[in-house]
Amino acid sequence: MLSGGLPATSFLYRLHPLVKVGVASLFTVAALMLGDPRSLGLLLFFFLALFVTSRYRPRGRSLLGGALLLALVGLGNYFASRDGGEAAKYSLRLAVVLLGVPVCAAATPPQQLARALARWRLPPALVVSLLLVWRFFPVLKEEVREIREANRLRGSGRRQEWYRGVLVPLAFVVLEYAERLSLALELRAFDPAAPRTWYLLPRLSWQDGLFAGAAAAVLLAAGVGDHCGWPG
Amino acid sequence: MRGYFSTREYVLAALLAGALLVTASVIIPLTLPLRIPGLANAANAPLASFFLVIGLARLRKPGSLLLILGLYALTCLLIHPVIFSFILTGALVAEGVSWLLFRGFATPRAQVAGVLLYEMTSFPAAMLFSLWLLPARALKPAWYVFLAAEAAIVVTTLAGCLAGLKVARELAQAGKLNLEGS
Repeated sequence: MLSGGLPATSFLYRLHPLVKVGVASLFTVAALMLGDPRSLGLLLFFFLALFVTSRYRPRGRSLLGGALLLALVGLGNYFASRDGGEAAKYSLRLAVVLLGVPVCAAATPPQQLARALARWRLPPALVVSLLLVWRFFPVLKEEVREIREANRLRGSGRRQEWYRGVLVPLAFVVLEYAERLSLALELRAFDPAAPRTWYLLPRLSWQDGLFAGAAAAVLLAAGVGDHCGWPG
Repeated sequence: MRGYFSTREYVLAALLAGALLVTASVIIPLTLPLRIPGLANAANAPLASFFLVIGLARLRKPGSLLLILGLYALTCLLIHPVIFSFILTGALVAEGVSWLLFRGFATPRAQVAGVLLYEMTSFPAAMLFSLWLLPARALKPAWYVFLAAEAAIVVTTLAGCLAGLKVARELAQAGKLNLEGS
């Protein structure tokens, strides 16, 4: 859902990776627990405000795709329940879930995340593997989009599109990346069993405190509104 | 210094976990709003089992399924703890049973059995964890609905596994996949 540019000088980009990931995870869990569309709207508003303050420029295509998906989910739920509030609840919940983690992924360079995880003394192989999943998720998603676009340009049939047209080329792409990446790591003398040192370790700053405080306040307001009811 | 898995194996497992995440991110949001028990698992199973079988055909060692699914589960932990819990439970059960029966994933039969066990276990595990952690949102289907969902998951998983084995052989013939171990 999220692809486009996020400036490296933005507020969100400079935050501590674990603070960002922690807030996104908390918001995702909260979105699944809250039931009032206004509380869910507040969580969504928080992420949209982050976009604005980070000077994020979404691609028109991603925006359109996301809006279409949310509209489809909303319509599907409306026809299933005949209740506008229920339909809004599911669409807003899905929007928060789809935005939370990708916002953090787009705003966290993999090196920063690895440095932050290094503080937990996890095995280096696990840190690098997690980093690859995190980093290559948007890359593989983009590859799928390009494969499907190429198929459309060739005018291939819909029925065969998923297997011959998408899955098989994606398997080739995954193996190709795996080959190139492992070669690059081996050339840099990476050993999964060897201990690793880090030159720069991220530290918490006042901006992290401000961000975590604002997120906690929004979460509290959404929770109170959901539990006690919103005024009016 | 040499660990149990090599750098190449860790990288392949990580990228396959990324591929699982990509396919799940396309399929699952489309099926979840319908709230039909097992639909998300049955719809996602052919794609997930396709990639898992290719990974197991290459890695073959005991612990390979747990490595791929462990990385996938850890990434899903950022999305929701319930997702992490049921993926890891399914992976642990499938890996344990596969180790007891086949001592790894050296044969296509072991590879298919491992993936099938994971898909079949993760659905009831997901229901149990949802019931425990999110009782208000959990689905409580009748036993025959549950059995029908499990049957659908088995059928779609087998289809994905067969396609995965076929493509793994094709990739090996093309020189892209080493099926003889590292």
